[in-house]
Amino acid sequence: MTFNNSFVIPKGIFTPIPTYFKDDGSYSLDLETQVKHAKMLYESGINGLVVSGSMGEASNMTMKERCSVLKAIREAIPDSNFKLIAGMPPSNYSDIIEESQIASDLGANFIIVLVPGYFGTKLVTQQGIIDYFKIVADGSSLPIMIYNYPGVVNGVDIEVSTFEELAKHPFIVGVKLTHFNLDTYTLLGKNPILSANNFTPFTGLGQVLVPALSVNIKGAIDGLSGIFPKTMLKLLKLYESGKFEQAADLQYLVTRANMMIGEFNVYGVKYTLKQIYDLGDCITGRPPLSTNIDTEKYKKYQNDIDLLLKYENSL
Amino acid sequence: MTISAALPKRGVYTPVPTFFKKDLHTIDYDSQIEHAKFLQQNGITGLVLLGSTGENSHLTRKERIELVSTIHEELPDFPLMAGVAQNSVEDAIEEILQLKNAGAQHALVLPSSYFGASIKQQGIIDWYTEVADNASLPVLIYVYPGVSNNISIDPRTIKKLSAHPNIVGAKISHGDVSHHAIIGLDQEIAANQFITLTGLGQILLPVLVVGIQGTVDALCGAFPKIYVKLLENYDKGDLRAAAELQLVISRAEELVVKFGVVGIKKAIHFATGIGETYLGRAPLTQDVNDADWKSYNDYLLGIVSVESTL
Repeated sequence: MTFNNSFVIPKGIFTPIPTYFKDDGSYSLDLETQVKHAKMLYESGINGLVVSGSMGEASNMTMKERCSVLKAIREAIPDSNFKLIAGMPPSNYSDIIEESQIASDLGANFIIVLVPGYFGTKLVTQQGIIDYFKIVADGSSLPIMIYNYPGVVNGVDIEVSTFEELAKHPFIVGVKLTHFNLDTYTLLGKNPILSANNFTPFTGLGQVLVPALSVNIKGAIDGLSGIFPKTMLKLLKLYESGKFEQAADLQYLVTRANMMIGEFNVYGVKYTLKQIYDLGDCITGRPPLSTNIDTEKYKKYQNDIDLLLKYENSL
Repeated sequence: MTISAALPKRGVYTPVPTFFKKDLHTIDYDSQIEHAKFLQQNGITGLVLLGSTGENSHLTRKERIELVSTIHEELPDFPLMAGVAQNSVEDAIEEILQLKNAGAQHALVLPSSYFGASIKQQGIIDWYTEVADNASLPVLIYVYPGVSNNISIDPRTIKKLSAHPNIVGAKISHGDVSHHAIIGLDQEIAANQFITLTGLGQILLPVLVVGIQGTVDALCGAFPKIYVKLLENYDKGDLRAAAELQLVISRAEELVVKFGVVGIKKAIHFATGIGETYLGRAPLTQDVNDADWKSYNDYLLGIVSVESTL
């Protein structure tokens, strides 16, 4: 297979965009707000979006709905430099392969695929993970980013040697690391086999962006960038231009604010977007994420959010 | 008041594996039917298709529906419960409708669990209520933290949901006997026309004592008679005989704890010869460690020898 540049995921800051629902009792899609938020991120310089990822409640949507969201965003932002990474929640390879074809037709550039973790750590072996991703990659219509998030797949993790094996597949092009194991970051970021295969690791946790960049991780796919896009881009730029001290100072503010997402996840991101930008009618997710945020508990983060908002507005 | 939906019977149910051909992809319907018949002939109350053991998560919807309709056409009198593992309410409702049309009588529904610890009990109640309001089949709640990112369903949540006329039971797949007791002994839950089964045959006797109505246990797919006999012994008051069988079962279940669905299929293959392979679809493509497996030989031969006397 010939090497194709469009398979490389560019470094940068990508936003896992929440999915907006109407406050109409049936949580129907609010595509107008969806596009408004996507455009705001695009105009701020964000490099691309994960559409229907964890933050987008992919698992709480039907395939048809995931496709509608993707279509609306790509039609509103036809710029091919703005990368759309489509989330693939199914846990069987046939459904993923089918959905990748539709996502490709609708203008997505990559798909992001979770580790198949239903059966947990006792049964899912590294060779089983390799077999699975190779079947997906052989059939997929789009290049694949591996989604390494043990927290949503019953604790199943990927070993470095598994990454080395999978990176050799021309259609497996990167990974989003949604865990804090900085030893793994180092072993992937500086790994010669991965670089030789143009395999790009990202962190899913903006709260450790600077430490991750220091070991050659290529950027972040981070929920906070949906709220403070310019701040996250600035953080990357400061590091890249060698202003390490300033980067570390900004990282401190970012990490503090990200603690809010650590506690409140999707609820916290939606609530904050509503407070700051008045985005969306409905600030809860779909069931089972249908409960309201505890605003008393949120208050302890208010000062950190306000500080970062001030910074964002200064950029 | 709405009339409550039909309850599953007290009894022993088998969550059957999905059998694959040696390519580890094509569904092996001949073995699937052979196994179902074997279970019916040996006294099993009904089947759970497409549970965890059935690799629900590795099949497409089309395959899931075909599997149910195939078994139902072959064995129209055998009660079929179908596993539902969907995170989205709408997908769950659509799937249950198709399962009903294929011949299933009950839906055993896992909670929406993607968000793990972020999910509150009220969110679980909202989710099941929306599903049950629109489900074409009566719903059983499937409590299995091990495959649900560790979310636990509180017995109080079960109690609230038991009041829903279309929610008729629960399967509990964890070893907390206290939770079994809080649900099994609660007369208000029972008055709501609600049946609770344990997913763990290794604690069947202890939980029968606290009001649980039977089991949905995978190893009875290999050794059906001993489970049926245990329940019979308990129901006629012969606790000593039931306890003797329980010991044999609990020992053999250590295999399931260790080797999961691959081990279950291997045990079925060992006991009945059914299936051309016991491996599953990716990522379940790897065999168990042979030396580890052999270390359980005494427990395995123990259950084989008791089963052969029944």
